Amino acid sequence: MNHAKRILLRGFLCLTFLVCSAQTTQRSLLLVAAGDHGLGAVTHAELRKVFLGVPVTRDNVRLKPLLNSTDPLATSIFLQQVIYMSEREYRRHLVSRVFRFGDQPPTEYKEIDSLVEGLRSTPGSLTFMWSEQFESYEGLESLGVLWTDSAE
Amino acid sequence: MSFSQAICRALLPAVAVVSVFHVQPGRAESHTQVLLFPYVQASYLSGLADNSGLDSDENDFGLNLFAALEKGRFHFLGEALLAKDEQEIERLQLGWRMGDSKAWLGRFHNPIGYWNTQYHHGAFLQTSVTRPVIAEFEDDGGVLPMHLAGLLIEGIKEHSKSGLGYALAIATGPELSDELEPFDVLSPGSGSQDLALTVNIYRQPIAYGPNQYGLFANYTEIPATDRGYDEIRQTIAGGYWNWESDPWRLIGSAYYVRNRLDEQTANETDNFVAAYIQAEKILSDDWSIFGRAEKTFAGDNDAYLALFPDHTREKILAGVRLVLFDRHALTLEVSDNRGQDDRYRQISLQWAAMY
Repeated sequence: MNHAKRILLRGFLCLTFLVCSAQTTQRSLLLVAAGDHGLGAVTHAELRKVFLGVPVTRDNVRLKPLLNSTDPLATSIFLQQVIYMSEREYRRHLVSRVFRFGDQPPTEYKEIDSLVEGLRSTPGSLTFMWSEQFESYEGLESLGVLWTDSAE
Repeated sequence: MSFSQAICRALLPAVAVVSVFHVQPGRAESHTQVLLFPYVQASYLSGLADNSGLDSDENDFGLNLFAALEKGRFHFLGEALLAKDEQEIERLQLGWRMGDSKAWLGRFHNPIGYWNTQYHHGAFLQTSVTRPVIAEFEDDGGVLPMHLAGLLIEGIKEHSKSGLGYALAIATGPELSDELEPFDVLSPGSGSQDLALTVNIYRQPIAYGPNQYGLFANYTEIPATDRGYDEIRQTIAGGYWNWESDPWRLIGSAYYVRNRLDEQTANETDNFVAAYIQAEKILSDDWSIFGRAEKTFAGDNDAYLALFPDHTREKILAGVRLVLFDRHALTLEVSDNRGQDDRYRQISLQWAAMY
């Protein structure tokens, strides 16, 4: 192997390492359910309806939104990317739906442990959380990536 | 009837329905929502004509009580207003959910325009202290039927990302005596309400989002023997929109109203147009400002509006709202008003909350 080939190989290995490193530290916001949820895939439209308080039923199980308020950034990104609303608009909209239609608003959690417990104990429940939060709890299942921090 | 008796009567049906829902056996779990909307409001009016039916000082306080229950596909929804001068069940609806639609039986808010089905009697929810004159409640001098009793079917059909919403009401409307008097849930035998039909079709660019625009039509037969007419046949058509892009919001609506006033030997037909536009801007998490302009385009001798001598023909207002602790709001509103015979200014201060 000549010198030029060695340089190319080293360069390729370095690039591969950098790409792999970037992928493993990339932060994602995940849609999460309990491991035994049995809900199947949840579409974006369904997810949005559920978190807006609109009743959505799957196999006679009502999908139940658990609003993750443990991290303001996660909440904000979720509302912007999935609901298309600012947090202020969202909260006003929820009250409006309750007052107009009698719909149930999402249950809100400010502690991650309580959120995970709620997820495990409530059939049909859904929430969103950071990938590192998801990895630190057992018995949960990711139903998809809602957003990825492409800056990292 | 004493205040306490009125409160008991207003709460009785709600308690009965709640009890039935809770003892009903079945696997479907039930959910309950209770919201309380207390408010205190003071207004000062200057420049009123001597013969005006309005008071220069108007003070009001009250509690709007809302409860919703859901058990499987069944829904119950009740709203009772317990105010200084009024104790009434404003909404009492039993519903059945069918996919993205709901069918309701009971007394509900007439789905004409936008305002009437968005804010109901929850003072905290609306940014301004007052409602647009054309959407005013019947017992506050309103000229259109804001409450109906009967069947309401409403829902949204999604198409791609947008939504097509509808509301269809087949019900009884109000009777006209001193004011428009809708069906009273607590005295179902009183009054002589007649047919009311309403259809409201609207589009939401993003389904279930806040932005929407729509068209509505209403036909109501209003018995009015106390006012010298056999019946008033009222036809309403109009359009509206609500546009929000944080921190801005624009709400507007226009109503064409045609009234045929029937007497035994003759009848008279008049029509008028009423419109309003309200702009709101959120300045910070706490502060908002708003303004509204509204006008009724009607002949000076409009026979129907003559039955409502305190009806305000023109109004322009501005206000500021301070939200405290997320659930309390202090609102100051100043308006310039032109009635049929006078021009007066009004300043209102309101505290409203939601629990």
